[in-house]
Amino acid sequence: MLESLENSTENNIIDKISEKIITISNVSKIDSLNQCIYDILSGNTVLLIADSKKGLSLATQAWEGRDISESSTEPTVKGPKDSFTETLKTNIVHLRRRIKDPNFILDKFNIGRRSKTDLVVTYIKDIANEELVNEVKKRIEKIDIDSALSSGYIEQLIEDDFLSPFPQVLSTERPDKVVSALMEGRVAILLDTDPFALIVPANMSMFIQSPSDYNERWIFASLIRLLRYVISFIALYLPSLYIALIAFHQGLIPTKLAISIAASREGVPFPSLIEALIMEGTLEILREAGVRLPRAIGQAVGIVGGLVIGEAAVSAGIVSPIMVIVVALTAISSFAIPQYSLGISFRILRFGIMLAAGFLGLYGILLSFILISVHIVKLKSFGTEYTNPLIPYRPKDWKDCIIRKPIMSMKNRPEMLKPKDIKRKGD
Amino acid sequence: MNNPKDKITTTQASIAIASTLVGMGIITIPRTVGVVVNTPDVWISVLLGGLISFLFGYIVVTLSKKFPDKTFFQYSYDITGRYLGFIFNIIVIVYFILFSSFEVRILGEITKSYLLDKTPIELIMIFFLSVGVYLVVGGINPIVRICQVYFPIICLLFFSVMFISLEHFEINNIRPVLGKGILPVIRGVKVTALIYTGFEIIFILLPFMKNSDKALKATMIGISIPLLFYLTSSIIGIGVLTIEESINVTYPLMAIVSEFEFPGGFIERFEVFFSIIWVLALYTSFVVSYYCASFGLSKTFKKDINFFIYALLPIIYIIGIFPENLDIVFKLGDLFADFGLFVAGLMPILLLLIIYIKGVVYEKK
Repeated sequence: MLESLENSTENNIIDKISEKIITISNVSKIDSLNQCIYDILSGNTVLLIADSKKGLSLATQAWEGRDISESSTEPTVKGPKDSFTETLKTNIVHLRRRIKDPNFILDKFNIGRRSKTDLVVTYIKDIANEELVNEVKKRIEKIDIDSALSSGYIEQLIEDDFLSPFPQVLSTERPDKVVSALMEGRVAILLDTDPFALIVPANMSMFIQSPSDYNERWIFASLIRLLRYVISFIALYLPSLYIALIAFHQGLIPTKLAISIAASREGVPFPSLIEALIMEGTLEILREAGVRLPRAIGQAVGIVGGLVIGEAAVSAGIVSPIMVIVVALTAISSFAIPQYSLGISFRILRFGIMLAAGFLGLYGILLSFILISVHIVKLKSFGTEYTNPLIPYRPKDWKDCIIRKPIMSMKNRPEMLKPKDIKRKGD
Repeated sequence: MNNPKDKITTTQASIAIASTLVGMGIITIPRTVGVVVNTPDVWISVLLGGLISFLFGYIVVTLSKKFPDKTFFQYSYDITGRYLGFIFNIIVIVYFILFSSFEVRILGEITKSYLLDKTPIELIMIFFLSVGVYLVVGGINPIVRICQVYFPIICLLFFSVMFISLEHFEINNIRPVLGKGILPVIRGVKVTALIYTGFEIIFILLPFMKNSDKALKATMIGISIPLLFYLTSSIIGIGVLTIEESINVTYPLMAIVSEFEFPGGFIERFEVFFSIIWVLALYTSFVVSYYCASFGLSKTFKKDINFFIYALLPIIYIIGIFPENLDIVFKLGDLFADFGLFVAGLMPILLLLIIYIKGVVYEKK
């Protein structure tokens, strides 16, 4: 063996070492100092040989990682339970296991001038629209920041409108969700050190869907989806409707109900807007405290805060019992929205709408509705309209939007993404 | 001239036209036309008015199609030359400005009487205008998309309300048909011009369309949906209220809706709910005409459109607030109907004649 090495020329000595002597699977040749430094910093071993212009980089890196666990932010009843972890390689394995297709592409990037974090753009080459893929890559390449700590950084650096309260990128820790998005012709971005994958382009309706919709019977799944639209409406508008009805349009409430509401509000010294702001504000504080506290104490605080403060506030005459019902229902609804990021945009908007309702009643609510709908209609996510496929009308894509039709009938991929291969399922 | 990616589809064009036409007319039509006709035959006038609009729509599209990649504000110069073209442009722009002001004022009046009786109308109008500007600065594409959002809501609410009203419908109220002959009906047709004008926006929409060949289809659908709205409104309005009562209340349809009772429901006074349709319908009409006016100004004076959008805001407001009371608003509305008849009917015919006489041939680049 060594003999043959002695005989080889300078050039192929490297080849021979890498092919015959080293038993590590991932070996690459390097020829620049920068590359050498980068590889050492990423945990590789670099093998340099005297008189040779090239060196070998051996993937000897190993790090401790979290085990694969059940998704904590998007749990489902049925279907796969695994979720991404902080290790990019493990995450890619998750996807590879699900897509054994040579056209499944992983394009690697390095993000961060100093952190040099690995980032992978994945798509299926013969499904995803080229323009979309190029646009994503272009935006990723444009990122110039010292370190990319988490996918939230990437999300905010590549989104279309950073002023908008609405999330324009879908982040998920469920591999099945990523795979289904890839199969629709979307592009997913995975970042090392972060268990959340980013899916682009994102549309409004995606935030109200959950992977469990596809694991249940279609009638049930459709009804649950419709319920989620009602839930979104409640999460956004219920407190404002209460304010508007109490302050401006008492005539709208049926007489008997109006009398009982008036009786329960007797002694409440504040107008309905202030009453609602007090309760909603308290709830926001409780919610923030619940996130910070250790899990065991967090629940206790939730109960103490919710029950005790609510009850005490009513008996102290600061708020009316009906206000407590309204606030509680709103809070529960905003937790029922499958995507956390949409839930928080609703939280912000809710306060705006409450103010509008407090000053202009139903007219204010209507104007805020117009304002929000104008905003989302103007919004785009990577070249496709945010309101797709509802607006502009694409009836062919409606099979899987407000309701979910049987999988039997979903023969084509969504047209809105202009996939190269439209057929999804044989007849 | 604009991003080819974002062309308007035929559906979008139809809905944009329909949304512009469905506006204040819905709840006032049994009265505005009823006063002139004074027989239960209001619906015949509405129907005839619609048929005439089809004809005018056809003429407008024929004219616009001669210059498929130009809007009215550009080809008016090609047809009549620099000075006359300028005058025609100004006429159309003034028309759209008046249209917007009218919508804003009516919205203020309705909101004040049904939703916010203590808030000053000025404030209501200013808020509405600001929400309008936010959409208009986005350009034509968001505008047509917002029409697509609201139009199904308006249709659903309107027709379900009309369906519920059938309970009080008396067929005898709309009889006898043509009891006083055809003459009152003909007189009514002229008044219907006020509710059908608005399809002129195809002047501006056509070059933005993906298939400008289908502009005629879009216009026809765009007119027939409002025709259905107004026909329903006039038949049900008079069928429930009788012609005598219809011409004595300001908003006949609101009068019908206020009689609804929902046992076990949460809503006591339904007309408030109905006024929501109204705000949405007026919003789309307002925004489209506001955009057309600013667009026209920017093409005529060759300046950035955003400048004119903001410049028009106070003008629309001042014109809108100017009439002292609702009676004057409605009287001005009748005058405005004549103006609309000129812009949508006479002017396109005139321009077409000039084309044939002068032999203007436009070749697409």
